[in-house]
Amino acid sequence: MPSSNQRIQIIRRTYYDSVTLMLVAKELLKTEGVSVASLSMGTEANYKIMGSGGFDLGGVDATPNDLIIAVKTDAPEGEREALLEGALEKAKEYLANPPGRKADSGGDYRPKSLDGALSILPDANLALISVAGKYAGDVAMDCIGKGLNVMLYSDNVPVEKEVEIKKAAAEKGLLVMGPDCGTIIVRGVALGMANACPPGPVSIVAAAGTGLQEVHVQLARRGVGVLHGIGTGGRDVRREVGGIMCLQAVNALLADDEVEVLTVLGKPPAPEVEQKILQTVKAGKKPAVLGFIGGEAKGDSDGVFICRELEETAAVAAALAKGEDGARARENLFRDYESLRQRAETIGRRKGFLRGLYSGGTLCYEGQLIARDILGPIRSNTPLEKEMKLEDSLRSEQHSMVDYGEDEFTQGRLHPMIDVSLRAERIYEEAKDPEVGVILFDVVLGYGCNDDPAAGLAEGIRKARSAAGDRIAFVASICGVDTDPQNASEQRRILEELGVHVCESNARAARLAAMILEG
Amino acid sequence: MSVTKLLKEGPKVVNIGVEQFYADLKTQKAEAVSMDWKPSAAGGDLLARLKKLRKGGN
Amino acid sequence: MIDIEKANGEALSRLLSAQPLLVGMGKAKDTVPGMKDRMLLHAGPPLTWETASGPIRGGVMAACMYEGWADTPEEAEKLAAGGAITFDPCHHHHAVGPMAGIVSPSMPVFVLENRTAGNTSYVTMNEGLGKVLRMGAFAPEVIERLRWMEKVLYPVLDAGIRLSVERGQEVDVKNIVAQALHMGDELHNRNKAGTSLFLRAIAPFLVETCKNAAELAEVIRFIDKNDHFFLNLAMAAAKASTEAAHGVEGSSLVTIMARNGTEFGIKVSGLGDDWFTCQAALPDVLLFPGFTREDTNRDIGDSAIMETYGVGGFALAAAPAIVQFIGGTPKDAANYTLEMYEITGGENNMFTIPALNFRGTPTGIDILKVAETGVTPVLDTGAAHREPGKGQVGAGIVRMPAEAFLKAAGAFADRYLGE
Repeated sequence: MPSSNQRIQIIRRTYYDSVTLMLVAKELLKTEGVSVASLSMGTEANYKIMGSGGFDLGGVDATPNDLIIAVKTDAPEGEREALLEGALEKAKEYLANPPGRKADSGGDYRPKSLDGALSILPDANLALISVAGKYAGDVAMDCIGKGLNVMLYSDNVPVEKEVEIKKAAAEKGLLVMGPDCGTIIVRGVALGMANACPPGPVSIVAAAGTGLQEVHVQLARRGVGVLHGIGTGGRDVRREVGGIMCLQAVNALLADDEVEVLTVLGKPPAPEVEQKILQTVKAGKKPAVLGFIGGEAKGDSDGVFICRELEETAAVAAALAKGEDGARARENLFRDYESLRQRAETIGRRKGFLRGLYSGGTLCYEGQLIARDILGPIRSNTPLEKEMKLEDSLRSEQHSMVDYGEDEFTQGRLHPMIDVSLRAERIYEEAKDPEVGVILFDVVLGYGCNDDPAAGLAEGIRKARSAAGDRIAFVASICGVDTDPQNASEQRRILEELGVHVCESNARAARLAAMILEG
Repeated sequence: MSVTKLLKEGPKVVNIGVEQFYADLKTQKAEAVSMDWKPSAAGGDLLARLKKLRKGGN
Repeated sequence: MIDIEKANGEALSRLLSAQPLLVGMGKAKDTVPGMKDRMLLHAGPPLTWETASGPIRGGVMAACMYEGWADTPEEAEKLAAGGAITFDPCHHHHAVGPMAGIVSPSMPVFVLENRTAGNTSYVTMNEGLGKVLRMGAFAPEVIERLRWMEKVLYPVLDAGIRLSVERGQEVDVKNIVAQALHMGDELHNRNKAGTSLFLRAIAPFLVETCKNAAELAEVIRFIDKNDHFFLNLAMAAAKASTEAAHGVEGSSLVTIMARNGTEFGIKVSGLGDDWFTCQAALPDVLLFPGFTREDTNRDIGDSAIMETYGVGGFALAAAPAIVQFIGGTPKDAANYTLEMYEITGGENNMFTIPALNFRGTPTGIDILKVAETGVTPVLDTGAAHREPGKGQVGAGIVRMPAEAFLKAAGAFADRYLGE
């Protein structure tokens, strides 16, 4: 009987966060002869991911509380046994002392309980929660019980739980930012995935993580800083949740003398929620910009500007902060966008379909809106209209844009802004499709993000270029600034050397990508 | 209101989960403590009962 | 519904306000309540000869020969297996015993009194290191030493202690514990300072009462050579204090943690007389040369009363000299103590740790916090050979298993949720 080329071991009732597991898997892959390595909790989603990684999971009975270590080898038969055994041993060693983490020995004490943490930092005012979704809701409740505001980075938190948490928090006058809230700025300090920009007169309430990042960055490019950027999580402004936290945050910022210009961001809220927000903001007597991406609301009034796109929102807010005319700033911006046609011409028109591969959810949404106006219907795993939903998120059809930050990709995995490998592979996959003319993607920088995403994507782009030659144009936007840990200019240089056309904003990149295919 | 306190004082953070977020806060010189969080030893049922017990007691 | 915080506050206050003093000595059969002929007390929760581990069996065999119930180890084993001996936990008699914790009727014991609540506790004299009964050894030298302790050590100490009591200058054991913590002891695996302080306290009385200079010198040398002599006294002080905290309705604080080499068991202040038990941990300790992990017996001894009292493993931050036991740095030792704050009801008002800015030691283990956090008590302990007669194999850090705490938490919810 030939020896198996895989080995799977289950460690019962143990828990590691997905970051540690990813790091260990990455370390294992450096071992010669190990072709695939996976460490994951036994969730249904992870079974699927492992199955697609080529593992035979017959007889594996791990529960979500069990850790599965799985390794595969491409070594010749005689060497397999020892190699796989060695890899499993190594995995366990790494788990005991995770690579990349500071050795525990002599390190600062890390409290095991919330009470323990509060005994070390008694005047804590915010909990940043990024544990697995099934635990996150309860942890958040405990934090609210202790009087802490909560940033809930975790996703996969059920909506009922979200409502329960937010109601409890609202009663205590606390904020719950999230679930699925990736970005927050408080007094200029970035939490989660956020950019290193200076503070300033604008404050933002955002239902959207990358929406907040994009506006933060666009404001910085216009020399305007952000004091607070409060995330609410995408579902907050939907009917089920009713905008509890959005309204709470808006009220807090309106009451804050340090806030000169208020901005509210996100996909369009449920109509009744939108009305409430609009009324509250108008009553607040502060210059304000509402950026409901792709929203139906139109018409600026009473010092409140209504915008449909992210850069537009930032441009208007920046103008207001500088005491300039918001409407004129918007006109100038859209005039500027028209000049992208010239750039498309210079790059050279392509035929075929547009394929967008996004790590930022709001950026993907905005990209679809813009491209649809130019190219017609766009398919997506997070489509503008239900009918446009991709049957399989892993297989594009016609014009498609895929959001890799969706729950389906992040269960038991790192967010695509941290782990760029899935998108790098997909870029190559798309390039092999002869009907593709443009590949569009975002590169999101800042704290909490991959420390060199351009380099991580480079291998995929190189392979794609050699597969497709000149048939495909590559267009990207970089959401970041030079003060970010990754340095935006440096990232841009890497991409441009690979022949990628880099734009100043997602709105520009999406326009340019669509215009290249126009006509 | 506690939100106001947060906005005036700036973040003083209990980090529960991804260690990188804690490191980033330290880089920005924000006050923070990072928990070594693990799911409770008690199963879901016992934990729920203990919570009930705590609520009743306070 | 019951106010747990208030109940725990009461239990903790009883524990902290206890004032255990050394008030006398006596033979176990004349002194220890409920002690009977042909009865042997042992460490940990109840056991039978069938379930007894190697070190307990070895200790029982040694005690049978010491009492003259048997002449050889084989005879002793037969006697014990035949049901002629009654086994009972030390804790059922207000007593504690390190490792095997065997107390036989003729053994002399110290008597401590908690002046605050009036309760008493009992403990044998520590035999020293190497081949000793408490580690399960039963060689002739072990029995000989026990006889010497009964014939020489006991009368000399007893006379000195009597005089100290007469003068109203009883040895204040708690005070010695507090001072020893500032001198590098954590009072479980290191008792060097405590032993020295005890000798200083008792020596004048011994000199005044002992007329035989040679015997006095023997006694002082014996105590001086045994760094752990004070451990037993400290354990009795801990027992007198934690027992005072027992029986507070609604309190989730642990008043007993003990291991018998097979099982680990706890009692909880607000849960009456029930033991909550599970299999004892297998200590992964620093081994003496020539021993392997396979030689190690499961965790054993009533000495876990020290951690129940808020010292021992809970005060590791006070004892940088023994960090080699935990294979780390003084910061690692401090981290163990910091972790224990997360499962305790409060901080000690008398036992403080210089390295933590004189913060009080974590005191009063709360079963609810253990269940909620998954953090279990850490002990630094000795480890015995799993076979009778072989003695100690090493020392180091061991975690108490969570299961007993979870069982207790379940019972606590049953009792106080009123469902």
